[in-house]
Amino acid sequence: MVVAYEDKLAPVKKRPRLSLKSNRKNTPAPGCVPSTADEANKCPYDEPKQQSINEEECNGIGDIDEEVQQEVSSESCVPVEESLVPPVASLVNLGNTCFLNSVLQVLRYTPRFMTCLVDLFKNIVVVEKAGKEKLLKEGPPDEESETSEDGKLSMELVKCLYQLYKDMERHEDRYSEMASADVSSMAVKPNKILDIIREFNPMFEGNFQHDAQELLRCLLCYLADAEKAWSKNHEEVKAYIPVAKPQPKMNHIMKQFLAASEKPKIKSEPKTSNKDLLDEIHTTVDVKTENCDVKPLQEGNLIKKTNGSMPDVELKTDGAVELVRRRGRPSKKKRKIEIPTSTKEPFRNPSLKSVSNQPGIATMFSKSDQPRRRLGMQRVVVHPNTSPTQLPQTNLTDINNNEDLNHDHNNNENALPSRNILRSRSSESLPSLSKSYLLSPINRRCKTKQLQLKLKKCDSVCNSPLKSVNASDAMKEMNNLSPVANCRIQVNGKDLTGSLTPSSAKRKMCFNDDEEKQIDSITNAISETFSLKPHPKTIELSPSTSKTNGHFSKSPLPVRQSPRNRCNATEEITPIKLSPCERARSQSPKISSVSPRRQSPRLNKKLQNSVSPSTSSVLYMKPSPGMSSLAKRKVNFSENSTSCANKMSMRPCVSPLRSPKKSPGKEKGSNCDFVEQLFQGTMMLKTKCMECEFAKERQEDFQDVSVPLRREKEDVDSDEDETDKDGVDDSCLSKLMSAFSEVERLREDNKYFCENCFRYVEAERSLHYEVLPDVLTLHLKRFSASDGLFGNLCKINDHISIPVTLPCLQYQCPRSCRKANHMYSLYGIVTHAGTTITSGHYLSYVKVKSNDEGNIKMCSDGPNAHLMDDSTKHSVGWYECDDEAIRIFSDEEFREKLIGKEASLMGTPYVLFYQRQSMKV
Amino acid sequence: MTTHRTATGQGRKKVQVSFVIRNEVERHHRSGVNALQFDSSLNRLYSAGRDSIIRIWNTRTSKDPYILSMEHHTDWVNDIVLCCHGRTLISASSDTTVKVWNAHKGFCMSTLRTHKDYVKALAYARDREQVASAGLDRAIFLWDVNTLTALTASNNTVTTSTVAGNKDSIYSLAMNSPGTVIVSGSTEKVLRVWDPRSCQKLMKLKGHTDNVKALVLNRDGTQCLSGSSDGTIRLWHLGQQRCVATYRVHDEGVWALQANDSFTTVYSGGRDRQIWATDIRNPDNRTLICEEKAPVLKLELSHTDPPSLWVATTDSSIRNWPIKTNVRGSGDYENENYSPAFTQPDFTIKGGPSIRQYLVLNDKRHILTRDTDDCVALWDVLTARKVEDQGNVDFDLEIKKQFKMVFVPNWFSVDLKTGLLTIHLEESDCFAAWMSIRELGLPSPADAPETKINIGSALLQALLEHWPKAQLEDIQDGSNGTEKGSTSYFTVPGHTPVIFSEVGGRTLFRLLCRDASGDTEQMLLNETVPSWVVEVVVNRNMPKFNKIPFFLQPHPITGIKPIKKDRLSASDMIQVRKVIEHVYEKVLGQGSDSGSQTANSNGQDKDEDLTTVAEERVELFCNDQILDPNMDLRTVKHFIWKQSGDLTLHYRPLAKKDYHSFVNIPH
Repeated sequence: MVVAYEDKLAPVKKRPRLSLKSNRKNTPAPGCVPSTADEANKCPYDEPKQQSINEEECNGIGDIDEEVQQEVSSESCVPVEESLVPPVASLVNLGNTCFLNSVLQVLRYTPRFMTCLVDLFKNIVVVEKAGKEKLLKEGPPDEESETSEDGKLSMELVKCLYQLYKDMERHEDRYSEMASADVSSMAVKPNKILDIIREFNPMFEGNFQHDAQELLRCLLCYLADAEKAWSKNHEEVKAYIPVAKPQPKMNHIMKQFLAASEKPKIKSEPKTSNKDLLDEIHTTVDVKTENCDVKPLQEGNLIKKTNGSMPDVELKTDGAVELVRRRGRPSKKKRKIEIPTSTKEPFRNPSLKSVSNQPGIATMFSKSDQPRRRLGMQRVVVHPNTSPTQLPQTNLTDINNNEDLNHDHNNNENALPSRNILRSRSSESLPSLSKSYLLSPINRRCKTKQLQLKLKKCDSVCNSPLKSVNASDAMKEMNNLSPVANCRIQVNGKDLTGSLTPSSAKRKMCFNDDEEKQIDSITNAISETFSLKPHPKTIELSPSTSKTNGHFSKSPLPVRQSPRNRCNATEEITPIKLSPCERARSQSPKISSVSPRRQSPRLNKKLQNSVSPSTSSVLYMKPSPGMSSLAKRKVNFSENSTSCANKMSMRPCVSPLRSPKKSPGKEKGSNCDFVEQLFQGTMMLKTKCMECEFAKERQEDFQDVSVPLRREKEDVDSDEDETDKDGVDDSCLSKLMSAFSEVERLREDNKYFCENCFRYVEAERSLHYEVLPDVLTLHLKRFSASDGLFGNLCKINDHISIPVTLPCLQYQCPRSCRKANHMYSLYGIVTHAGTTITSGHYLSYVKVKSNDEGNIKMCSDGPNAHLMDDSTKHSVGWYECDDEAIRIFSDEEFREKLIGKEASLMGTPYVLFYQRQSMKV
Repeated sequence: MTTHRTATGQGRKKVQVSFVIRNEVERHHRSGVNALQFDSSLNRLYSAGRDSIIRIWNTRTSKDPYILSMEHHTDWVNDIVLCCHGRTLISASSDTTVKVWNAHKGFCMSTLRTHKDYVKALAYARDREQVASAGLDRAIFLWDVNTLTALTASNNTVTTSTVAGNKDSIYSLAMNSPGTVIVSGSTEKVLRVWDPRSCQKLMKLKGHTDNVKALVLNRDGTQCLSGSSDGTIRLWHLGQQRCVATYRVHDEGVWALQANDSFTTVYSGGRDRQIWATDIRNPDNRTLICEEKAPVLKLELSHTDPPSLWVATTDSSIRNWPIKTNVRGSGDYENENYSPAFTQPDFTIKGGPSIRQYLVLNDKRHILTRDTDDCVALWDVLTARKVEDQGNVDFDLEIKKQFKMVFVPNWFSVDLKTGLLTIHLEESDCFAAWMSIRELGLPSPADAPETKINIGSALLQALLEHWPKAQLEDIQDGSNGTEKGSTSYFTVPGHTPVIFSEVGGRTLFRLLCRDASGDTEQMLLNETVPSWVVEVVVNRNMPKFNKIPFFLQPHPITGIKPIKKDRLSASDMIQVRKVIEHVYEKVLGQGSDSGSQTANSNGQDKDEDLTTVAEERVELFCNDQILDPNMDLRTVKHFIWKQSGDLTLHYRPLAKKDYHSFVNIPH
């Protein structure tokens, strides 16, 4: 919509971008806004269009300065309505497609969604190109079964979605040229998306109104499919994905993407020299080191414990070798080996304690340094040999240091056993760890269920550590990590592409853990990495790789340079490593017996060529290589990013503070399940027989939480004293909350067949959400079949006031829990106006954040974006996305609409989108 | 013909027919025991079984204590109370009825059908001879026992008062002897208290965090003990309307409570199988009396000398445990580990095994079962008898052994809730299965080799064979011209209980097979037998054959060009042999010209010859497997075709000359 009101009061802003601040100044009392909105609604198209025509006529297409144009238009034309449309891209209604538009808009402003989408898009493009190359080289594929039609279609959807959002960004960037008083001047047509969705699901055909929530679910499902299709394709053509080449491609795309939207900021941002970055890193490292020293005692205890538990000492190798192994992502075998050493050593060397302090993680880091991890294989190779020659010259000094470090760390490795402990513990502890930077094994408890994954392949052994980790938890934890840690990582990442990769690897680990598929993909990735590895020594290096190698080699340097720093670095990385460790844990029993070589014969061969002495260790490292493969991709991106990263992902790089947030997003993007990562949680369904009181439990994934608006109608007894119990507490919050502790009675005609009682019995079905996703979607059950008068889906128009923040929803958390990672804040609403599901109108509200310069950005950008309630208020705004029309509200205005007495949202809230408050974007 | 599938209407739920396969006299409980009542004057114990039978035991003879069964319920008996000085027993059951019994003679005097769901609990006010019943329908009914016992067939109206206000399913109920207070426990987790004289609500007591499954009131109704699924026992002071003590002696849900007359000691049992005696005023003084082998469902304090505790569990045995006369005597038992004070019961009423696992064999006639003793048995549904005890063998192995490559559609369902085999016949699928007499192993007239029987209808006829209406109608209906099944193909044991009930719901009528000719029975049968059964049993209208569509094509290896794809249809019972004949006759143009239909061989004389000849000349394939001529089409479809689409059969002439004839035929 036209923000007409503001214009009335004050001249149109000269800058194309509205800052919320200025907005506010201009905005009259909030109460007035709605009226404008109403007007606009009534005649969304007619008047504005005319105006726009006028504008064009008056101004011609001349090259007059934008600002002038705007001013002219606003002042010369009808005063009230003609202000320029807000500098926000909108979507054209293609005929009752507001259900689509509202969802697309919300997704666009969903934290991390865009970065993931962009990454996925890029990945798909890369793979497709590689596929073409493959076609060229190998001729047409033998079987056409490469990708299913659906897979292709879903990938097509990703592309279209990407294009659409890109278009939107373009529109926004060219706001000054395009904007007019016509609401649709900033509108983009989502027709391609619509076509694809309809092809997917004929349900969405026709010009009827559809359920926005269903669409959302479908859309996310298709995106997830696209990811799967991509990862599948990727495996098939990975050989054709050049290590270095992809970058140019990416650049191209990126450029396109950025070209339109490039901003001055971006230019300044990322191109710091490696040295600078290194410096930063060092400093950060130092800081961390201090932190790292914490809790040596605990570790010692842990070690003891682990020692006790771990019997096998077979493979005690040199300290260096061991180190390598550890880095390589402790395979189970490694652990066992290590364990014995650890048992002995911890006691022997009291000095180790300091190292041991950061048990699993620290050790990991020290051994593998961030760069190593990424490079995984390369590093491993280097270490075992300990010969500087292998490493690039620049690294030599570092290497030496590393060797020293390795020795030092051997002791630390002893500490590794603690890892095991850590692994076993849940991710919950991680957050705390992140805060303190210490990983206290005690704190971590892994959910045993999730942890237990079976290793199918030998290769998987490497990966195994990953599997065990709770993906979601891990993710959360990662997110929870203090911004500082992230920053550091990111910093490293900037300079050291390698550094970024580790984090990405982390994410993969975390997220993928749960699903074996994903694991497989990781393994694949790992194998890829082996072949692709830039490491100079690797036989298979492609000529182009040298560059990348250079990067990698450099990256290790910063870390290595100061042995002291290592610890720090490790700390930073720790979160990453922990997750892998945890996974490894669960699998460890099986693997332990296997000899390293057996596990991955392929790898062994390759590795052996390069590094005969330490082969075994190298093999162990493989898991990390898998990570590294991911890292590679990322690396590529990151390289590009400096010059031409896509808007979304690059922005973070602009300011160091932001960079951390975004980079994680990137990393995540490399995963092939970002939809699940973002939107999917798990819930536990428990059915308890009232007769024998046996409870049957079943775990399920969920992508949204359905909130019943009306309680199941209790028998209406005239029970005066009922008020105290059921209470007047019918507030929205309690309703929402009740969805998280739903208890359903199976009775009367709906009895439950109990397998113990061999009969139908009453039962109590309860539901709790075990793992909540970063993006929590609440679906208000407004359309209920039962309430329809004629068996139709009738809409419950009950008013419900929407809480801006949700209290802790974690199962069995104390009521007072205020942990940021348990809290959620609202960032989007899809509302529906109308009385039935097949009619009416959808629109959406999304939260955005403006930075100091008055630009409006996604709320995800700001470090504090998640803190709705605090000081950042002034920079938070909301868009009302009503197809072509966008209106901007300040946070206060929006809250007024949302919560105020005269809740004046357009339509009734239907789908609510919350983000985890601790969520890093 | 077609009408027998339409619903009975009457706005009533669909009615199903069930029967139980059992011994004539079931001397042992087949499943858990839900309730106990002890008559100390006669030394008789009454036990209410999940096998739907109430049994009376003589507790003076441990050798064979069984006295009598009281059978009329059709589902779990959940609670019983002994009233009128032991003359009358009232029982509550999951069949939604409350029954009044002559306790001495063991017959059912009347049935109260006011409840709409499982009746879970009874309460008895001895001084007023008043009984209350409550159940999952949230209703509480108050009954005057003297009125109940005076009920006759002609004077069968009872007035009850209802106690309203419960908001959730009631699992427990208690009334004090003078009948001044009634308390209910429900999944609402609160105790609700009324005055049964006025039906006025007195109070609501909150505190438990889960279902309340056991309640005891003291005599004057001032104190109440409650046992809950939350694992606690709470003592409530009704005057103060609050919980005055919480006893946490159990690890899991408390399901049974008893208190001594002086209300000083509470005996409790529950899911954790332990039985505790706790001093109500000094909860630290408690004794672990014993540990049962299964979750404890009911405790009954026998006021004999010395007093003892009868314990019923989900296991079918009932045990009698001694209790210390003075629980507070010493703190000796309060060891850390709380070893049970008694390890051996004084008295055990042995229970029988209950069937816990079953598999309906492919012939959909035999059922293989495994019971709690791990004994495997084979049953015949059609004759409602046990065929064979296999003894203690491996169930899975036995399943493999019994496997037959035959497919018969499902036509009944099996229910194990009573620990016995209960077979349900429903209109929707009861008539799905046809079998030939030969398959059934019945003696068949030599000249009618292919008589097919709808086994569902045959079984219904057997179950109601003593119903005069069925017999009578049979003769009259002979003129209708449908099949004359004047005699049943099977008979079921006369003691077989036949039950008419709403599908998944209330029992309408239960009778023994042999009693169908009784006057009352006839009357009730006329009311309850659903029309879909009447159609078959009385009108003798046989259900239709199931048709199966299929395609018949030359086998690719014959090189014969397929003719147009004809979609054939035949009874799914038809044997491959018949199809072969059809191919031989019609497609290959051989044999006699008299064969008319494939579906029904109309008793041709040359049938046998033709068949043998045809089988020598033609082979049939499905999915490239040669078909056994004895297989029927549904078996082929199920085991060989294994797809959802229409069955496709391929034929291949074996003799060369047939190729020629074949080639000539088309066009």
